[in-house]
Amino acid sequence: MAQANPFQDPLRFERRVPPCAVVIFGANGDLTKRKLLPSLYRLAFERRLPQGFAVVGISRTEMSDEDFRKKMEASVKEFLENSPFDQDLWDDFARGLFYLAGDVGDDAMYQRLSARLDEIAQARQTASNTLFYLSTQPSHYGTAARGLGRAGLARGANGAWRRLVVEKPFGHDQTSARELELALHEHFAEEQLYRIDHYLGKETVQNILAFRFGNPLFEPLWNRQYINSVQITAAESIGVEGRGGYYQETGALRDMIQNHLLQVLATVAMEPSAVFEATAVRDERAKLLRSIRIYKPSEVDQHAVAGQYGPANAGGKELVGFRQEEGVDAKAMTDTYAAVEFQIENWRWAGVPFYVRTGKRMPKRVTDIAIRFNHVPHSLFMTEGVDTARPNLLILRIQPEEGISLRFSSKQPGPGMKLRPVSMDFNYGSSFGSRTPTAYETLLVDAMIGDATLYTRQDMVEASWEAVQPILNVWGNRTDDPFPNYEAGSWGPKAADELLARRGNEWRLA
Amino acid sequence: MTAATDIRAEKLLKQLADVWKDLGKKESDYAVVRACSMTLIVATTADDEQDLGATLGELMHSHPSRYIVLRVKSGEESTFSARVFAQCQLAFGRRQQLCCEQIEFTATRDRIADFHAVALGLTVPDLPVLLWIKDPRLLFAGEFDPVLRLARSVLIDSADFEDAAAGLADLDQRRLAGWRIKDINWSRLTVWRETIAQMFEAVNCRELAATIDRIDVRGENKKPGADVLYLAAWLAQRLPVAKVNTAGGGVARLRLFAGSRTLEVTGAREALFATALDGLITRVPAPLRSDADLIDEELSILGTDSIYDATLPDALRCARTTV
Repeated sequence: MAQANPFQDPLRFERRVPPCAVVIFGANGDLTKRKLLPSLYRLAFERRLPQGFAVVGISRTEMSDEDFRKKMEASVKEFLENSPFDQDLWDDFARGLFYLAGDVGDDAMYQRLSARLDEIAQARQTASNTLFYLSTQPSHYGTAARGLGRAGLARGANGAWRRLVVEKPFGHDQTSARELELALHEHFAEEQLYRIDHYLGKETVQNILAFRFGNPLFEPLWNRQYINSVQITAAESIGVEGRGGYYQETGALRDMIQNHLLQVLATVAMEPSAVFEATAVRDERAKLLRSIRIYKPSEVDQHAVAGQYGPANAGGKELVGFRQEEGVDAKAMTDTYAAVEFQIENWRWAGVPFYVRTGKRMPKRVTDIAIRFNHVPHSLFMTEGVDTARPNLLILRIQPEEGISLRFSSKQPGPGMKLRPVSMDFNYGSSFGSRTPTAYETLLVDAMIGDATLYTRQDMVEASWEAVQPILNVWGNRTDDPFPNYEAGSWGPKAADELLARRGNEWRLA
Repeated sequence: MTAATDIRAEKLLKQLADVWKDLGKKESDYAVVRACSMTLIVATTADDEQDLGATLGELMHSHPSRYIVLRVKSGEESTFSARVFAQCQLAFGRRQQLCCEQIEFTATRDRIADFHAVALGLTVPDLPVLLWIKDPRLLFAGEFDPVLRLARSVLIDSADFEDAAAGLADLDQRRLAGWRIKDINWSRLTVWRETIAQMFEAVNCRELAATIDRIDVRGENKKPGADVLYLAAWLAQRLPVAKVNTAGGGVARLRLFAGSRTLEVTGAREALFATALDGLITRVPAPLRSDADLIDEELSILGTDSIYDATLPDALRCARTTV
């Protein structure tokens, strides 16, 4: 075991990234330009990266190291969020950027990569620690993992670590997810794999854990005795934005619910772990995901609603329907909206519906979790036969304004005893003042440090596929054509309202 | 402004309540939220109303507090006055105003005991009280002693000490008496300490640590400074060195010698340059930090800072050796 660094001061310094290099497959792609390099540069600005830190970009395009540096400089300048660009720092950071042109299917490329990494380890003292980041098309994940393994790059010598980060989607369905698992595990052990779900890197999603397990006030209420229902909403105001071809094959259920939103649900509903440590936390998340009721095909229509937006005029603007989007089949059966009532079969949550919805072309961009508590058991405050007390509502806002609100009833000033709902708000940004790190900054540091707490594990991937696969099967075998069934700019199809109305609930206007 | 004879805690609290009512009436478009995480008492002598106001304004973003400011005034005519007001910022996506209370006293030295009596009734119940002695000369003034009894946590900037060794000796005595000392000057060293910690993440540096036999810390100013002493003491605690050299104040360069091999960190404009064993030079951003930013770092440590507490007595020993 490495000797502890006596100069560390955990009260003052952020967690230290050890000397290492990051190898990005798909270095010419959007994710690298928009997220990965800006995040790494920002980490350098925050003094989070080790001295001699290096990045090796790989893609098919022929480019020199210098060309790659120039290209990345332009990207960082364009996509850096809430942060100044410091030319001197960039010049220093860019000296650690290298590029290798090659095809993920070409074994010779991995040999060249191996030699390049040896040179870099020598020149920049990276101790041969390497994080491989697959930012390529998902169909290349298995090929790249095998290529790395065959070239001996999956195992480091002399205690050097090797890790592999994989971006979602982790398969297209349950079967392909298992195939991917087999391909990844051929050369990499599970503890070397970091399946990234950027939702888990968001400060507010992490804050759910802090809120739940750092405040004993709510824990006694966090169960079926006091909670009526939970709503998780991830709405986007935009459409498919030129990604029609890709989205047509994916759909809202696969793109959002199978991964991001089920992870959020698991974070809200999981049992406390004994320690805040990767294995323990992920064990609890996995356990929760395995507790989700798997619907029979005959039950799917009762518990899940698919939607697809049609054309509309919203606020004087003509919006096209999904089938009119570029690259989309005129008869596409893709769900651009999905709402599912999940049921968790354990003692804590039995009987509490977890409503999860996501959609494109909704009235606004918002992601939040609303926990609706039970109504008062006996109403004291009736006005003209109407109970003025409203159930308490706890809202955990993930975006755009990260924070927490608690709605409770208060007496309206004046004569009589009329109640009205008031809200106590906590806003993450304004309460702490400082800039919050982006999800990719958090997750990249975690992977380099070796902390997998916020990464998805294979059993979690499998459990979430298991929960959505019956719904996908039913939707995939549909013979009728119900689409489009909601107007662009609206809150989704009418059937989604009926889904909640069956239990006397309704969607919040987020 | 409240006349001297009227200065009572109850009356000032009533005035504060009126401030909130007025704010609520004036700001019909925005909700007004009172936020408070502690009582911060600031004692100063300087006529730096603008600087202090700006610092407190910046600080309220991350540490909304009840601010009680005491301006100690020179002059023969006995004075004791107070005023209350609120500082607000638009928060919560600009829909709500977040406001903090401020009570400002002006007192001549003969009225400091009166301030103590009033301030006792003004601290917010159940929340921590921190005393920021902005002018360190007050720390050594006998008539200021009652104010020191208002808190067990004291914030100071040792960069303002006339005599670093004497100042550190006083702080160490207070630490031994159970005070929690927070030094803004120690926060200034974070970037240096962090850079060194990062250097020692590399295996070759870690291996070299056992053979480092000399530490040299230099300041840009001739006058000895507490920061140079702190840094040298902190390093010496972690390395088996035989010799520690310090000179000046305002850390500008440090070197660690292991025979013929050297690790070096040098300060430049808004950056540090760390030279590792193999000659690889890394530029580390070190932007100038405002007082509010440095205080924010100190306030973010809720309990005892054991590393600072262990460094302070050794820094004092370093000062005595240097002298």
